[in-house]
Amino acid sequence: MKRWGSTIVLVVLMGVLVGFPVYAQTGSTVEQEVKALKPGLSRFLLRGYAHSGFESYEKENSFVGGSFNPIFLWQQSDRLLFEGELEVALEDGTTTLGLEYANMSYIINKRMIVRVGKFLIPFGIFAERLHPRWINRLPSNPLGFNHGEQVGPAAALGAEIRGGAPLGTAKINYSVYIINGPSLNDGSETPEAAGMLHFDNYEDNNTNKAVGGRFGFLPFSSSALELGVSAQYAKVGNENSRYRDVAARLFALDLSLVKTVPAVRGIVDVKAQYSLTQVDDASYINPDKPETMYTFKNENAAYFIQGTFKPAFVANTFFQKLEFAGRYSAMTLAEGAAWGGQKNQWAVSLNYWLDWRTVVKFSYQYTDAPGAEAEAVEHEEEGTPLGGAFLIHWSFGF
Amino acid sequence: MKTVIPILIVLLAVVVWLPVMNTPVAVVAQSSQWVAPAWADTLINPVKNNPGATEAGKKIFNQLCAICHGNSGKGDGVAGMALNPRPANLISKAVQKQSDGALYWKITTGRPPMASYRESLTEEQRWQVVNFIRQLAEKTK
Amino acid sequence: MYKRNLAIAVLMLAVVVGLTLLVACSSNKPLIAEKSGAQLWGENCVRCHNAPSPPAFNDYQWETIAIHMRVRASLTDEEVQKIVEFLKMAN
Repeated sequence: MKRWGSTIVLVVLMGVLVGFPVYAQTGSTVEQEVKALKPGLSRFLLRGYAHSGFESYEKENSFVGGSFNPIFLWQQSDRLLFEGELEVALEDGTTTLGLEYANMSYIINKRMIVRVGKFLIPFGIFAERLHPRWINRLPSNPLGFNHGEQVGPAAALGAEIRGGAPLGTAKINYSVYIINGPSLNDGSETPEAAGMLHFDNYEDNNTNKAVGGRFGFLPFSSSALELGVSAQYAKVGNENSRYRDVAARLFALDLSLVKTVPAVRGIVDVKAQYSLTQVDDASYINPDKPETMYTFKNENAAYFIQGTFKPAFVANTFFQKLEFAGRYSAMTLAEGAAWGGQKNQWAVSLNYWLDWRTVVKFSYQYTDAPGAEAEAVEHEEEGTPLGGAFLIHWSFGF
Repeated sequence: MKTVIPILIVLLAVVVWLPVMNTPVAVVAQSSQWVAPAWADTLINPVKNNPGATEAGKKIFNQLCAICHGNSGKGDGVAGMALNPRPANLISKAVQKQSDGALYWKITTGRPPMASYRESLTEEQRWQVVNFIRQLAEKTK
Repeated sequence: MYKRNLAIAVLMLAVVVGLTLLVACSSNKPLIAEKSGAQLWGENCVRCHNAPSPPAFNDYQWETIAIHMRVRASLTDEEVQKIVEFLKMAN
């Protein structure tokens, strides 16, 4: 028995001596592999969105889009993020590259983030939150929220402090920013556009900076409803010009409501925004009689209200993925101005969601310019064409 | 307009046909094939018929489960509308015919996008949720 | 012009005050601070887009997406922590 005992001890010992290093080595290899796969503190993520489609207006129809917006996210630490978004698109047969935003955010504390660079302006909710193609429930933007017929800023260069906080069963969020601000078209180059505000003011036309902000309030515990108030103030005239002291006041109200309605087995989503820009009275060169001056009440407003219903909880798996969307938007540009006028638009869409971030939209919209002075409205080349239009878009969020 | 209509029809047909074709496959493959292992059926619910435990399970359910499975368990929570597979209807026959142990196993292991509650809930809490899932079905009977 | 501004301002103020009172009176709802990560994920994401499917991204990707959305949607610090924790449990 003694011999057996010592043999067992020997075998066990040998096993430990031979096996342990192997075992330990296997362990450390796995550990090393895991460690090698683990990203460092510098994180990079490339996301974005894209769309393409077919649009048919009364006078033209074409396949459109094929554009995509890469979003670059560089996370340098738990507190530091750089974000940049490009827009790669086809315009008149050439590929264009646009800089949508490029900014750095630093988390100062739980309730405060500072952001500098070119960023989306929280003036209402459309420009900052709803415009990406896979988030916008209709293929088109509401009137007043397009390039070329814009009431209120979308993106700008500047600095911002923002944050959010719980407040018992409610929540608030805020943003305060300082940016170059809009510039006033003084008519020296394009008399017919005198008095218009241009929001793409990337090399400031004066030493005055615009200050603005938004305050959002979510009264319900479920965060289903958000109400927002935005305002911005700036002098907008060119430095050393007679318009130097002309100021613009901007206001916006916004609303967002998302709620399940079990009675109709679906989800209701309502979004709305009202934007108003007011520019001090000033005299501009009259485009019809260039030797005379004229003035007008320079007040512009745009609003939209959008409702969608998604029968997500019906039994039929096809209908579950459908969404019905409707939107009314209207825009009133300075009455009496050469570029003034009114437009309104109905848009309806039947959407099919392939998954949570991929949607096909079949939409019809009708754009009208009451007041019959349609010519004035059509001065803006980039504006929404009048009349009926079919739009089919396919949008992805990456 | 004349040339537009055929293009529209073709595009519409292609786009509608793709998802329609995919739909039945998706439903069969994704929502019905999550089967708990047989040994899970042998697990015994230590809090069966314990009203206090069911009440505790209700609190947990409202906090963790209702957002996808809905307040009444029908799979109609706001966050579940675009998930694949969709959240199960907990009061359905397909769920209710499973044993307590099987439900407990599913809560424990999870299956994306359903979270695993192995770490964030204690064993007892998971059984409490099972109790409440049974009660949900009784309420609607 | 200024009268209209004043009217808009008063209206906004009335709405905010009214809703605050409404909320204060219905206090049996859960506090934001007591909400779970799953609830916060579901309730906040759908305010603009569908609640994303947790398995769409890995743990590290979610961390970067979370900071991106924290900035964009002005989510609170506590919310973001809980949401990421939930997504890591469900991906």
